[in-house]
Amino acid sequence: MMRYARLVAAVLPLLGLGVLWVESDRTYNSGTDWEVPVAGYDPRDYLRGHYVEFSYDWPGIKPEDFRMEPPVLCLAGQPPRLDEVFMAGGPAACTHPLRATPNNVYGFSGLERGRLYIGQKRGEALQQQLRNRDQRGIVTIRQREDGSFTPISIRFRPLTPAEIAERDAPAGAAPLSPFDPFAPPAVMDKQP
Amino acid sequence: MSARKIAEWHEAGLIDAATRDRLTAYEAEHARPLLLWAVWGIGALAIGLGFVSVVAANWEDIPGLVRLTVHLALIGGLLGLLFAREDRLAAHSPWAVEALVFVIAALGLTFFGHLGQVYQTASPLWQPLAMWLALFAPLLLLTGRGWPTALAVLGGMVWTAWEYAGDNAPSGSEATIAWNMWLAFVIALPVIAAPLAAAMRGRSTREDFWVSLEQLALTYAVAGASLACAMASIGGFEADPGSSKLAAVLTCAAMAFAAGAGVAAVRAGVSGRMVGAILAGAGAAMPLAYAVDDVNVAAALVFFALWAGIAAAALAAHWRGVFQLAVGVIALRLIILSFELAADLLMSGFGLILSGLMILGIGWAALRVSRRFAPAKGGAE
Repeated sequence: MMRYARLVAAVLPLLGLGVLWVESDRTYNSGTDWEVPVAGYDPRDYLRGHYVEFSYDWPGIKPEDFRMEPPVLCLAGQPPRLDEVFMAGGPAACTHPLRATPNNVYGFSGLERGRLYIGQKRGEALQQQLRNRDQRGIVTIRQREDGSFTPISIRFRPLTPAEIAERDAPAGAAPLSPFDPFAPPAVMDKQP
Repeated sequence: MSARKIAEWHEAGLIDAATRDRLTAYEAEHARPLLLWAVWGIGALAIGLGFVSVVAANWEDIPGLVRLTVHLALIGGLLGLLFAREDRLAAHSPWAVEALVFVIAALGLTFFGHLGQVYQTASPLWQPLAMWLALFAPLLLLTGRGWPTALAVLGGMVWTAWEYAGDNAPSGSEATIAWNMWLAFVIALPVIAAPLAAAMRGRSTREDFWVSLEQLALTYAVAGASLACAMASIGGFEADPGSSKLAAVLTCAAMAFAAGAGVAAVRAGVSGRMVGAILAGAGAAMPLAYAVDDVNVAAALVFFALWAGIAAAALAAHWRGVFQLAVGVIALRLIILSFELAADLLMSGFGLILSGLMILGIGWAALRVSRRFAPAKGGAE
C-alpha cells in the first residue's frame, strides 16, 4: 500500500510536468502570426529581469478604447501584415479575435501591455536598440482562434520618412497625412 | 592525534595495553577524516560551480528543447533514485534523503520558469505555484524527513495562498462578503497543516518532519494574528461598509479555532493541548483586533494578551525557547507602544530621558522574567 503511494508520489510530478510541457509546446506552436508595432518602452522598466516589456501600438485603437470591458480586438489583414484593428462590440463575427484574460500576467491589461522573455545577452543589445529613436519595434504575436495569443519575437525596422516627420513635429502640430493620425508617437523616449 | 595521546597514556602507566588497543580500535572506527572530507567537498563544489557557470554562460545558445529535456531527465533520474534507494539512503543518513527530496522539489519549481522562458508563457504566479504544490506536495509529505521539506510544503502553501489572494483581491467598493470569505479561507488554509501534522507525528517514522510542519503551521497562525494586531494599531482595517472585512476576519478566526481543536483532539498530552490553545488564541485575537481598529492602546493590549497566552502555554508545556521569545516580543511591543504614546514627549530632552529610562527598565525586566521563570532546558515541543 505504502509502496504504491510512494510510486504515485514519484510518478505524479514527472507525469504532470511532462503533460504541462506538451501542452505548452502545442499552444506555442499553434496559431497565426501577426506583426504588431510596439511603443512606449519605459527605460526604467523595460528590462525587468530578462524580460522586455512594451505596450502594443494597435493601428486605429486609442488607449481610452480599453476602458470598456471586456475588451476584444479584431485583427484584419493578410497575416503577418496587420492592416487594421477594431474593437469587437459584443460577440461580433470576428475571424481573428484577441481577448484579454485574467490568466495573463497582466490580467485584463494583457491587450495593452506585453512582455517577451529574452536572454541576458540579447537583453543588453536590445537595450541599445530600444534607445535608438530612429527605429520602430515590431513584435510578432501568435494569435489563436480562442482569442489567446503569445508574443513570439521582437525585431526593429528603421522609421519611415513620414514617421520621422511625425516624431520631429513640434508638440501640438497636426499629424502629417497620410500618416495614421491615431497612432501614438513612434517611439516614446522617456529618458530624463 | 588521539593515537599519539593514547600511546602517551599507556607509556605513563595510566592505561594498560588492552585498554590502549581497545581505545585505538574505537578511535579508528569512529575517525572523522575532516581534512579529507574538506578536500573532497571543495573539489566537488568547484566542479559543481564550474558546471553551473559553463551552462549559464551558454544558456541562450542551448536549444530550448535540449535544455528542457535535460531538466526533466534530471528530475526523473533523481525521482528514480529516491524511489529505488530511499530506505537504504535513509538508513545511511536521513539528511541525504532530505537533501535529495528538497533538490527534486526545487528543480520542479524551476521547471515552470524554464517552460516560461522557452514558450513565452505568462500567467499569474499563483497558477504555477498551485500546480507545483499539487504535483510535489504528495512527494514531500511522503518522503520529507526534516525542516527543509516541511518549510517547502508550508512555504509553498503560504506563497500560493497570498499570491492568489493578491491577484484576486477586490477593490474597495466591489468587495462582497462571499468573495472575501473565500479569500480569507484560502489565506488561512495553511493552518490546516497543524492538525494533519499533529495526527501524523505519532504514527510516522519521520517524526522530525511532522513536528517541523506542525511548528511552522503554528508559527503562521501566530504571525497572522500578530499581523492583524499590527494592522489594528495603524487603523489598517479602515471603513468596512458591507462588513466584508469582518466576514474575512471571522473566517480566519474560525479556521484557526478548527485547527486548534483538531490538534488538541488528535494529540494527547500537555504539548498538544497547548498548541491547540495557541491556535485558538490566535483565532480569538483576530476579531478582537478588528474590533479595536485604530485604538492604539487597545490594539496593543490584544497583542499583549496573545503573546502572554503564548508565554503561559510555553510555561505549561516547558518550551524554554518559546517562552523567552514571547517575553522578548512583549518587551519589544512595549517599547514601540511607549514611542507611540510619547510622541510629544520625545520632542523634549526630559521626555527623551524618560523614554530611555523606560526602555532600559523594560529590557531589564524582560531579561529578569525570561531568566527567572523560563522552563528548564531540555523541554522540547
